[in-house]
Amino acid sequence: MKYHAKLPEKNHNVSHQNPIREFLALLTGVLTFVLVVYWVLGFFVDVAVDYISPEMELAIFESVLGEDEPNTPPIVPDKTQLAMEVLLSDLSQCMNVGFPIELSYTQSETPNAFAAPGGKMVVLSGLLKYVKSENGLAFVLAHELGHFKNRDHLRGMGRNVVLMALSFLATGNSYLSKLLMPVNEFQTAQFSQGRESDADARALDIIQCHYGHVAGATEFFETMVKPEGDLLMHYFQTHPEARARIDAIHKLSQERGYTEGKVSPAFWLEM
Amino acid sequence: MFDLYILLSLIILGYIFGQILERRHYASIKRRELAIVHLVTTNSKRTLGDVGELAEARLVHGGVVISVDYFKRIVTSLRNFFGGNIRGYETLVDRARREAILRLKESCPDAAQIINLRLETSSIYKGKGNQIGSVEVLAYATAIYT
Repeated sequence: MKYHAKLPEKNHNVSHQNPIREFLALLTGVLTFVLVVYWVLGFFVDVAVDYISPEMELAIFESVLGEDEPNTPPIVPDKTQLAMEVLLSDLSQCMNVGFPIELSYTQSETPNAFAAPGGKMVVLSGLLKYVKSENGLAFVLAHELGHFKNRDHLRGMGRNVVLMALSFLATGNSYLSKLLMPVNEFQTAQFSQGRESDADARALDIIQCHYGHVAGATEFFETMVKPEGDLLMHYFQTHPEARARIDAIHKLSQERGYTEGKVSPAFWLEM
Repeated sequence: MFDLYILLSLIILGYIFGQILERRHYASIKRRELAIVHLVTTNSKRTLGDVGELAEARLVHGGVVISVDYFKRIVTSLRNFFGGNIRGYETLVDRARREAILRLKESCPDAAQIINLRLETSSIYKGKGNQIGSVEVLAYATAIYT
């Protein structure tokens, strides 16, 4: 037999399919899987939250959170904090959350307030720059009360845990879990937007009950309205865009027949 | 959101550059394989046919390290979820094997035959988590001179 040197005509060791098609097919599969599992587990979180009593919540988070966070030193209870506590307890009269709320007033430039586990409401001092009257602040506090009432802090936290576990389990590493981020963020945002609107509605009822009118309810959002807007970002924001929230609040107060009266002056400016 | 944009740009860049480089590499491999196809190469311990009196036998080797691009790495990670052929890595190791053999052959163009060809593969960055992986292929053989 004579030896002929020649090359094979076709490379049979590699696939000749389009890699982009494979990528898209795989990505769609993983995203769908994560979406479905997250949705189902989110449902279980909601069920579980209903079974967690405030006492149990406190017992769980006391051991985790301990005392005050060391990196955010709370101001020595000054007049602002004390006045805020009085306002909060007045507002609580209008809606029974079911457990005591502890107010923590913290120095920070960020205009924010949030409901933390264990009945702890954190108010950042930056918030006071964005509200002009006591009613404006009362709405924000009432909004957080609404979150406590709905146990949204637990739901949000439960979903975050599910999210992290899921993205690591599904992809096995952290950088790939970023690829799943749109799904996660989209779902969280959609879920969260619903919770926020609900808390807004509750807050509206509370300040109507406390003041007898709803003036100042949209004050915080009015100052937060940003001129620029990214259409895509809108769907990924956990808090509905300020403009949409203002409209929703106005619509709701009209439906419920709430009126606007005279706002009380900002007590923190007089101190 | 910003993280996602970075990731997507990396994937797109990885795809574009990965494809360009792969195409170029395959073109080069095919051209050079054809140029040196006359040099008989076998994994047998004996020469093919009778080559006559042996003048010299020399150990020759050729090695190459090729990295996988970002796009392939992502596709592979997704593939790990479902299982199946990792097509992206097929071209990677195919190129590495052929390039290693080519370099080996090009190191001894005057040999009568190359016998006892062996290939070794190792992956660099193995187990290094988020690092981009690369593959090394080492080809070694005995070059026979007459």
